[in-house]
Amino acid sequence: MNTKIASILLTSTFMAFVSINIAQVLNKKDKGKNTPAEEVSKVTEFKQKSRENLKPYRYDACAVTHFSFSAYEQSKEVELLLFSGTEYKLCFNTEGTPKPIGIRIYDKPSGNQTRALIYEEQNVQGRDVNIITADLEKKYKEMKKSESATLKRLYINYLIPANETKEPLKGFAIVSYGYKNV
Amino acid sequence: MQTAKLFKIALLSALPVFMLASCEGNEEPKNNSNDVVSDQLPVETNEGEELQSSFLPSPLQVAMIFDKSGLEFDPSLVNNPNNLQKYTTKFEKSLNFGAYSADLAYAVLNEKSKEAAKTLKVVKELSSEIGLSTVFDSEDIMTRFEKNISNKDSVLDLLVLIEEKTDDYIEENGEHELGAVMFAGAWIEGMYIGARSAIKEQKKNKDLGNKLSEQMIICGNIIKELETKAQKSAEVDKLIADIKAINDLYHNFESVKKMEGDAAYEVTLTEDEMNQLTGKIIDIRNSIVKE
Repeated sequence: MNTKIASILLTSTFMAFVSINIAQVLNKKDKGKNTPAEEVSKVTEFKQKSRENLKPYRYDACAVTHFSFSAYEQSKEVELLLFSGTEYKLCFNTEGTPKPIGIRIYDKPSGNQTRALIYEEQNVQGRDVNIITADLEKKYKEMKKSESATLKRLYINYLIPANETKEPLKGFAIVSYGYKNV
Repeated sequence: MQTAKLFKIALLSALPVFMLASCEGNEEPKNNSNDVVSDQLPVETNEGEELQSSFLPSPLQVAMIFDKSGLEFDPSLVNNPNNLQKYTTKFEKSLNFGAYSADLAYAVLNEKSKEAAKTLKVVKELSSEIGLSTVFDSEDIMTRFEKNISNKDSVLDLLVLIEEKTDDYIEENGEHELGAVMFAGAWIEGMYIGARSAIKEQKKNKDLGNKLSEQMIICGNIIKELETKAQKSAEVDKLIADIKAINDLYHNFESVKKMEGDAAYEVTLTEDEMNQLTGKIIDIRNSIVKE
């Protein structure tokens, strides 16, 4: 009788272990696909605000960068292509970050030792940052001391400070970009 | 004795399972899996960090860039709306949704309202078949389109609205694979229209060739997007291989090899190089569009 109970206990334990593992895998997969409804609605609202700020430039695309504040400072990078003869406007919305972040724009990707910092804005939280690429181009030509220096790509870096509390902190930043309609 | 031993084993095995179960709910969210990239590296160790995400320009912007070179409308270049029923798998439908979106932009920019209306209907139909029906459901896009058909600016605003809604759907539903495949289709179709027009107008319009070179900068980003966001399948692998073939061909041209960095996309190709590039683009486009 006791052998039977022990066998049932062993089998149940095994089944529970398998179920928990399956649940964890499914949960992880699910998290990869969906954001909580509240966050989705905030993302939609702030995205719309950043699109509104693009006017009179015509909307082209939008990037939402989600981040979790960890024990270390982090940097997240978004690449943007620029085509000659087109002027662009970038509109950042930072209402989705619970702590101020930094925004830096470079001409080359992270890891490139020769990259140049073209734009920097510190302590950005809950406010809009709007940039016209013609201004970046002008600054870039001055930095490179060359009229022929052109920007074909921009690398936007979000600088996410360390989380000094034990509370988990998450946030997101949005950048929309549009082109001049002429 | 045997039974007691079995009991001990069972209890000891159960312990970690219950510990695991009790920890599950308290797991600290170290990383949001919706983050653009899962790695969280300290700033000082960013060297060598992979690019996290990139913007892909919309089909409308790609069409506008070619349009600036005086691209004239040629109805024989677009994907025939009657081909719609030939696309049966989700992959084919997504890819051709992109191709038709590029055709739509091409028709609108050239103020070909009849062709644009036909293509928009196809785009709408495909959208519902690949899960994008909300794009057209939420606003009466078709009615607004018909009302404003003679006003190019208003129709362009509608195309932008479609883009916004498509982007929102992709973001909110994590359909980045769909986005990557659709964009690949749009880019190939845009390059095809540019290539065919460049062949036709090679002597009088050198700028079109330069625009093709400039557009090659997107190639690497599309490959990256497909490799990171699309699930592996024979169809995706073939698409990646096709786009890589265009990319490799371009970067092996003598005119391109001698340029450094992004200057490689400001090149005026030789006639032979142009012929090779346009030939490759046409082959690949014709393999995705069913005539």
